[in-house]
Amino acid sequence: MKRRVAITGLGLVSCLGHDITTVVDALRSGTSGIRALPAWREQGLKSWIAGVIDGLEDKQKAAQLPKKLLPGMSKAALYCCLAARDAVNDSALSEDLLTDPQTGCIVGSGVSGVRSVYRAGDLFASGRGRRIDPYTVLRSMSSSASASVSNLLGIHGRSYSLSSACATSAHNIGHACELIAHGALERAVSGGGEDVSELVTAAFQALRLALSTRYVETPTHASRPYDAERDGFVVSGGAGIVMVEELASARRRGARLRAEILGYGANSDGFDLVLPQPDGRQAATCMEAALDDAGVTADEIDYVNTHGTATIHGDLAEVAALRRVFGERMPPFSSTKSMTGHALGAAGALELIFCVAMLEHGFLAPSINIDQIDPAFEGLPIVTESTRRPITTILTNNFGFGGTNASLVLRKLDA
Amino acid sequence: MNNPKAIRDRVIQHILEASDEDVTPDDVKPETSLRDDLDLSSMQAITLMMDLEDEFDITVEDEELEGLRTVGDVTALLDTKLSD
Repeated sequence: MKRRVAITGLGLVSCLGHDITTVVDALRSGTSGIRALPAWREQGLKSWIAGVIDGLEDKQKAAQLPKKLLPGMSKAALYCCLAARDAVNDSALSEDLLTDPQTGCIVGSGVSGVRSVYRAGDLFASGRGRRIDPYTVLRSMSSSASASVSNLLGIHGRSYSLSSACATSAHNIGHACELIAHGALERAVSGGGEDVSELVTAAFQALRLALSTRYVETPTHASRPYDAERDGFVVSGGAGIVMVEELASARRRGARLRAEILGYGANSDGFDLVLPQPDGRQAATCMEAALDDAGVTADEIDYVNTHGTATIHGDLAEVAALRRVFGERMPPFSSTKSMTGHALGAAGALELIFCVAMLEHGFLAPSINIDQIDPAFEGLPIVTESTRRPITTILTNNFGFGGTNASLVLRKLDA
Repeated sequence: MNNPKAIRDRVIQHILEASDEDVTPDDVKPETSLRDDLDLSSMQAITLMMDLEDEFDITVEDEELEGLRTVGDVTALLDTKLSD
């Protein structure tokens, strides 16, 4: 029988703010974190808007990151470290338990250290390979996030990064939960992060039609999942880190149990490297796997936090999947990416944290920027206004390039 | 700039900028261990040498890095390189 898993600590870095209170206010008021980046326009980017991460100076100072670790961190890893410090503090886990071999670090990013690779490549191509920064490997390795967080916190349990594009942090947390549920770990620092990079944005631009380009003059209106005039996603980043623990032992130590992660589902479309399976078949199977793992029926889901990136095909496919799972009894759903943009590898963890906030504060965050609903979604219970409502059980989805899917079910613990 | 004291002062300045330890120039002696006393990681030691290569326009071979344990090892290597 699998063991239960509780979330006991939260930490985040996001374009909506870097602490839970600020972020809850933004989610409740439907505030967008997207803004224009004129420098990106000068660099030739058509989508010169983003969920920018800034104002981290105080947080970084408070985190007291050692000089010997900082140069080895990618931006994503840095964000993960800052969020991890907060998550650990929030969990009130003792130093002894944090460094216990049964405490793991399962933290990833979608991409890592692109700037570092670019600089190294530039030096190499110009015959100055000997001047390549020795930290290039550390910043660019796929496990930069888990390496940095585990060294910062003195983790002695297993430490590695799963990477699955935009489903990265959902998969990291889901995997950490499985490790705890099956007894391989007692607790884990888990989640993921992503840099907001002009280089990554340029790479997405090369895919054509992936990014929003028509709303650059009105950036807060650019991320518009389910709107008839949506035209792609807005790049964002940041980090979301949670402390997850075996529920009984967390309760014994007197931890604040912020929510239970009831179930986790993961699978693949096996259909296309970029496009989602239009009928949502595999995404639906992923959600059903999460419900099955959670031991709940579709009727018990009070709200779905969708992946909802605002791409034409992605939104259609996910809603097709929701129809397969929920049929005529569709629960309220919304995409918080309408406010944050798409935080890529950080999205799953950030959105899980948003869901915990909704459980704790009894509200549903809205999908903003739906001026004219896409006829394909007409009549569906999309949450367009912040709504006060006690909720107990949430399903949250994240999907990534490569056709990879992740769904998590979480529940308020005093329910 | 190539006198031993000037070299030592520059090396110490680089070390103090890199180290997390609360040390002053007076704490740094030739026998001070880069790792044990100053808590410099292997990466920081490599970066230190790259910075010194740039500053003094010298080239330190990979195998020469292996023997660098103390501040004295670093200044001695620099003395040798600069007198070549």
